[in-house]
Amino acid sequence: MKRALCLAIFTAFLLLFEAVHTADVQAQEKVLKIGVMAPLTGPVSTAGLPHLRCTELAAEWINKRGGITVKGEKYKIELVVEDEKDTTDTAVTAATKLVELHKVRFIVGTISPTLLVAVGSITEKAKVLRSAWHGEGAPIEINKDTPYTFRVPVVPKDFAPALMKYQVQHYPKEKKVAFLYIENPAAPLLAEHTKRVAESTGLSVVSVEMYPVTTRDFYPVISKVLGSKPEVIYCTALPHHMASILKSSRELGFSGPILNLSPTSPEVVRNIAGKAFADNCIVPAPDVSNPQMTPLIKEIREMCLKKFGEVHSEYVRAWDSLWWMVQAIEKAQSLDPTVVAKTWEKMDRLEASTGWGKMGGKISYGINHIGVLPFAVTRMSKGELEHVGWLMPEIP
Amino acid sequence: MLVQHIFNGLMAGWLYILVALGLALILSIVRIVQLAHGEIYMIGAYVVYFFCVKAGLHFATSLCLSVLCVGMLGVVVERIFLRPFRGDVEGTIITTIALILILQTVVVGIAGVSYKDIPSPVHGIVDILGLRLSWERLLTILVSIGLVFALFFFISKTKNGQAMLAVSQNREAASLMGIDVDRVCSLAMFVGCGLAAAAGGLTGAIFDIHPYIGEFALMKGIEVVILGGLGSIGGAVTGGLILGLVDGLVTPLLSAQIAGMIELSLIMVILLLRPTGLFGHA
Repeated sequence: MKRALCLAIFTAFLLLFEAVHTADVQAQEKVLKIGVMAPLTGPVSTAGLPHLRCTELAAEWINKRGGITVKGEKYKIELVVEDEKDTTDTAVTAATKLVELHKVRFIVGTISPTLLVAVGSITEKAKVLRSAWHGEGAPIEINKDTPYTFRVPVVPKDFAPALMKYQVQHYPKEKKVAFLYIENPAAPLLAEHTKRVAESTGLSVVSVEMYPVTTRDFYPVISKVLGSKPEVIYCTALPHHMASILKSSRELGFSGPILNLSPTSPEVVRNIAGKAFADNCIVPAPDVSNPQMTPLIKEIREMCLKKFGEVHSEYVRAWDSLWWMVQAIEKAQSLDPTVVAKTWEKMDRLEASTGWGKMGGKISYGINHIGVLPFAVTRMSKGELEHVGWLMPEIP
Repeated sequence: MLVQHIFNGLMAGWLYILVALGLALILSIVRIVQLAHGEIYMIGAYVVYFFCVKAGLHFATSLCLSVLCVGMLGVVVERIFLRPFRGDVEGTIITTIALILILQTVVVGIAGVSYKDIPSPVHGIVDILGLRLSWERLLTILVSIGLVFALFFFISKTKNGQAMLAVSQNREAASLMGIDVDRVCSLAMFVGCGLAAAAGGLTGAIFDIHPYIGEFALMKGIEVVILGGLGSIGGAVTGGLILGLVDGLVTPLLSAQIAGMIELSLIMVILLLRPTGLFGHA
């Protein structure tokens, strides 16, 4: 009887302690819900899952450092994830759900340029701050009428000038270039822009081709490109496209440089194409296992390997979208998206996984909502990956 | 250059034939639109990847094992999911769509969504008077031709093949003649899914593999079958080669978009003028 009484008192004490402790923790730690929109099913999930995992790691990393501090109060990040399936209707539904049901005021994500615009129809109206993962750089994506949309990672349009300058420096004899872009609504604008940049860099554009995103066999389209006798090929491509473009080009006899304007993972491209074909190919993405990476990329790599057992550059790319948004919230000392947006667009020093960056785009996009941050350039040479260096995009 | 385009088209055509053969067989004998055929093709590629990369077996051994395993999977799928809906078009469509999602999810769960690569068993380029052909594509074409002849021999010269032919021509009459229709349907699924696995494994060595490659296989397979006609191996071969040549010739001369438009227009014209396809029977 005595033992039972002791046990009951001990249990009651434990419950009371737990209740008090929980209440105390809840009082100290508040939660900030941040929506994540990623393509987790369908063909683009090959990119969507690494982006989500990277965002989850970034949130864990920020939470471990104490979370977000706003006016002395600590907020832990809680991610609310929605699968946008890379389709417009699902993405709009997912955005509506995040805004209306989960009441989030901050969202990161969407990869496809078309979704960037579609989701904006919901988030802009609801004044929800959004940090996109990707785009093509078309004026419709981010402009002066999208005050709540930001994009941190560099996109093909902004990679082009830096990569073309690099090409002219390292391949001075190759002047005739061909463009091979994924067919999407923004592709003609990208083609027009890159053509202008190429001509101003002293290059001559011999052909511009588009291919459907579902293309698997690149022999026919590469045959057409090679018919224009280019010395350099520029493309936009997902990793499996890039590998197939590289392999088909080499098999059909093209040995000149191939530059990808999309930040596809060089490790993945090399593995799919095979070492024999991975030569003279340049991508604006880091080889994350290279010792010349930044301390933060090295840290992300270790975290990825520990948690997911694999890592490549797409596991790193989404990091800054969340990390810059958090830096902007802390700088603004507010959770009001309007205040954060006003502060963010004026920030001229933000820490990125690749170094230090700033906001830009006032002239080229009409609004200072574009991340200007260093990007790594990797060259595949005889099956090996070489870290060429860090380039800075020019986004006035 | 034109000869190179023609060769490219013929090479693409044989890839399409390989994908379409199994689908044509299942359509004409089991009489279901197997919308999950692309996923069977995808699983075939993953099984080759597993045996070749994870288990370290030779590519040829891995391909044979994949054909057997995926053929057996086809038998199980037919017995459990498709047979109860035989004759029920709506039920079959819903079931096969559900199968697409189930098979994709299972593969994502087991293998993840990241790209996989099957090491090619052969490497290098054959250069004949400026005409460039890769050995791995040539191998795929040779295996495709071999499989077409093997299937033709099986159907025309073996008792089981004749039974399949009889079921495809008149199921009721075949049944009255003592042919076990259920067994023939299982056999057709085994052969059809085995062919899809071979196609997945061979094309997986040329391209990449990921859980969503099935859509390409299904679309090309359906196009070839509609163009060539049901119940005819010759039809599948002709349909595949026509589509391959359109891709190989029109894309470099005009564009990929116009090639796609011409392919679908051609199919519409064939459907209007000859609804059973070029070599199909009613």
